[in-house]
Amino acid sequence: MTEPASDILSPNGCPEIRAVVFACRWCALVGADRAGKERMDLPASFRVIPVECAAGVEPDLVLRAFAEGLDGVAVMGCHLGGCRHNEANRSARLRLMLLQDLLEIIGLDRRRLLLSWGTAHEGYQFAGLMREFTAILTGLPPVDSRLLGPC
Amino acid sequence: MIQGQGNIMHNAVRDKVRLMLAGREVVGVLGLCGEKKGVVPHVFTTAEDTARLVLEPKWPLAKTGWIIARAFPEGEALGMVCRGCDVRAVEELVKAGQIRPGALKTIGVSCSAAQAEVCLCESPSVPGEEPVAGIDPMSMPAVRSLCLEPDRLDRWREHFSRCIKCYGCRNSCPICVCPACKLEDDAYVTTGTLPPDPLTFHLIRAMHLADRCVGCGACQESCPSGLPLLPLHLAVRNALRQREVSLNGAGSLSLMTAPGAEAGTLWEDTLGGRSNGRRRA
Amino acid sequence: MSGTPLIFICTCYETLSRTIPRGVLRTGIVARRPNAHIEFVPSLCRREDIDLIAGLIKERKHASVLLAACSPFARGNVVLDGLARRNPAMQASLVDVREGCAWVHGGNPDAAAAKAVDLVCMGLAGLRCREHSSEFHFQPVRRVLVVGAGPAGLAAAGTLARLGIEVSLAERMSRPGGLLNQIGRLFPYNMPGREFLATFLSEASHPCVDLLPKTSVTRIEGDPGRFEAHLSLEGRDMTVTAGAVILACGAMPVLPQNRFHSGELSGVISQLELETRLNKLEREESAPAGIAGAVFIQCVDAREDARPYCSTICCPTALKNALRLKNLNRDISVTVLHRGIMTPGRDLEELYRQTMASGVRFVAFSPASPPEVHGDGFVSSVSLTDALSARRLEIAADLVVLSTPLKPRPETASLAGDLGLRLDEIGFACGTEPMQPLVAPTPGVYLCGAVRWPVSAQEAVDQGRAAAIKAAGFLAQGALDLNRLFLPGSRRGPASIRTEACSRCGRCVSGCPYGACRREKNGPVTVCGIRCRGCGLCVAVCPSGAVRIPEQDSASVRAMLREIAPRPTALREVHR
Repeated sequence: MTEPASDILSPNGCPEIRAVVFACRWCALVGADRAGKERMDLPASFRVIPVECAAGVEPDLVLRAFAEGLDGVAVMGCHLGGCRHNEANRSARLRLMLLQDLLEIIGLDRRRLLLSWGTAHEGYQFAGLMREFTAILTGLPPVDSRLLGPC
Repeated sequence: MIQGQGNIMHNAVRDKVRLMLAGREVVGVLGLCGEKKGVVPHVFTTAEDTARLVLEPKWPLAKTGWIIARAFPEGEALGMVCRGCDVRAVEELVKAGQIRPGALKTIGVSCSAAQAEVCLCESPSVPGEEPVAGIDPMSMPAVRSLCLEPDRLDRWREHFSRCIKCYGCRNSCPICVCPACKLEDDAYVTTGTLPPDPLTFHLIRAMHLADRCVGCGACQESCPSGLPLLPLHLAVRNALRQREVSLNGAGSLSLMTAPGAEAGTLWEDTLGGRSNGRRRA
Repeated sequence: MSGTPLIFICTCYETLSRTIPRGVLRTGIVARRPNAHIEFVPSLCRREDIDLIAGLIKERKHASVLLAACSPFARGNVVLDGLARRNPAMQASLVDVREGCAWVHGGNPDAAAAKAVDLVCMGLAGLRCREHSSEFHFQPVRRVLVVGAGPAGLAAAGTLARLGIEVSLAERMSRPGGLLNQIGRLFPYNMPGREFLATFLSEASHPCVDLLPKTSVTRIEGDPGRFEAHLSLEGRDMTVTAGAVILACGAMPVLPQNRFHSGELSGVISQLELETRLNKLEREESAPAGIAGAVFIQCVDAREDARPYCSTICCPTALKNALRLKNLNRDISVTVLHRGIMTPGRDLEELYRQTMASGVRFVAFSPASPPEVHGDGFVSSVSLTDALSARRLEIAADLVVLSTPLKPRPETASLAGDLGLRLDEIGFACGTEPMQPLVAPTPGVYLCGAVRWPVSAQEAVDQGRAAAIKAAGFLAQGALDLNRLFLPGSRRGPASIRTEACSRCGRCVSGCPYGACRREKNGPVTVCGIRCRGCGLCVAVCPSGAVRIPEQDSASVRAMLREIAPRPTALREVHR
């Protein structure tokens, strides 16, 4: 028996996209705040989890997020050279790009893991990323019905 | 390999073992023992016993060696006759602080080119021996179909669906030595389900091993369901290599700066795209 | 104390409840958390509001509180901080339902409401697993080691001494003053260098300052609050224990080598050599003999591929010295050949005007066609292409002065390494991003003066004073570190390790940006509390989950994910 990816359907019947955004509180969270202050209109597909630094985002939890059925995970950190924690974002970037590679190896779309390094600081930047991310995820099939369940 | 050459190597290794035992450098030497019923791992402690030493088949021994020698007190050591991957595995164990340097003294034996093909191995020969040509795993059709073809997700799904969560892969892996394993933690891998969710069970392990895997293939050999784990972990190593990260190097994925991980401009890396110009094809 | 958190939802004077009606929110939350205590309030951010909430928490004996309100950058952090100060034992979390929800999903109220419910439940889930990091008691040694007694170091020492803080001022030369000892007059107003230096020397002769000439610092170990510095005084080794370190060891001039025939032709000298000659002439009140024309060439060995930076002070120095030359003998013709005169600021602009008014000529050249120096034994002329008119000029010269930049001292690298200071590509020491140029990533370590970039003596002094105040603040802080700029409400860390789960693999040790995670030989990994800034990298790389940041650990992130994942428990149902 295959399960639908999401119990929550939007009014037009399409499965609602659910993404989690790990936003570094030194830049990306500022972008989210600015998007709010400018009353930008964003899709309600994402939920933000503020983090102290993108380097603190555990790849294992990102995998867990996908395993629980989330369509996409975004990790937004500061631009390289601008990390408040002494270049910690460089190692985060390497780890998470490897995670993108790993998703791609088994055949999942690597764009499900969005990485932004300093490109979400302004309101319009954050808004643009969220809109594009949602559009991409909408075009992808749900994760777990393809990976799990009996063959 | 020609029979004659095999005998010469066999005798040379046996001599090294005897030398090690005679010099009292080690309490014993772990190797393969040829018995009537077959080949078993065995700790040779006397010169006479070494008559039963055999070098085939390729049998990953690093984990076994670690289990025996990890509790040895200062000054005691275990010898080990093993392949190049085991030698590398011991180096990884030392780097990771899991065994004292010198507690496992390896006698490396090179693999043949034929074995390298079976193991998808890039470096079948041990340092100090004649070089043997390895292969590039990403050039093998079996690996390509799993890691590069468009419909690979269905193939992986079919493989993963046969996983019975026996933990054989993790148990046999010489790099997997954590006392607290996330694969047994319900917080990461949901307990009580079969097959386990591959995104967490297999991919978490793949991430942890990423730059430390030595390509020994113990995981795949121990898998009762025949999951293609070697291609999975080797593909990850290949991805790291393309990002110019040193494999089995001094540091690890936590290194703050890895060569090749430099940013191009401020505007890179959005949407998981291939905007990192350094990435080779 | 009750385990259930008290939930305060701010309606922001009913503006928020227009987009997300109270009833919808309450129903949604209660459906997932039947025991939720929800209070709607018109505002949270006035002092009376914070007092009220803190009081309510104590009265109803709740251990934790969830605030659903505006963004942390609006008033959220102020509220969190205020609550933390009034009731440090309490756990508090903030979810942003305004900027992060109502204000960006106004066109879709149903979705906004669903998201707000999600956010509140995520907050509650995170709050359950949230703990305070253990307090660590930090008793810094009330002494500061200042490395280098140039103007920056002297000013730092003087400032610290006035605050009653003991200073060890290590200077590797036999007397303090650094490069300032060689400067006769300082720009912009030609103040005698000796006078300027004397002021700071007298400050640094305060009883609190232990001046150590001929002493170099070979190695610095230890942790913030208790650094152990190994010093070497003429071969004798000694140790100084200091709570903070200020690196003020300056920079050194680049010698012109053989540029523009400086080794071959007499009369081609460096700017520093000119300075020395001018000092002598001014002391003797005599005029320079046998010089009819002087040509200054700027940007020698600077702003090119091998050394791609502007050294900031060479232009003002050249102008000052050109003026001095003119003052000694008005008839000497002085020409400055340049690639752009860098004199920012009111005073330096005035210096430039003065120099022009005195008759000094300025000719621009482009780096692609530098000037050529001619002569036979002695220098005789300089020819160049004027970048503005494209005309070829030939200038008679008996003196050619080459302005070269300052470069980092070689000793800087090893000390910087000891102190966790990064060096840029050129070798100058870097502060901390963002916008903390004098502060090192390691707490208790500061830098000032030319060690971080070529500066004028006045600026070096300013930076030295600033670094001293920061160091003093650090020593006074006790458990809280000024460097972290932590508000009590948004503190993270230090990390804590469960020893029995730690496999000692060392990934956190090699990754920690602050050197806080250490692995003792054959021992478990420990976290140095004062160095940890709570970035969480250790948590992300630990394969066993042995390390955690109590304020936001994996358990809380996981719990938050479960709140929003489509079917977190369906997996079990399908396969059992």
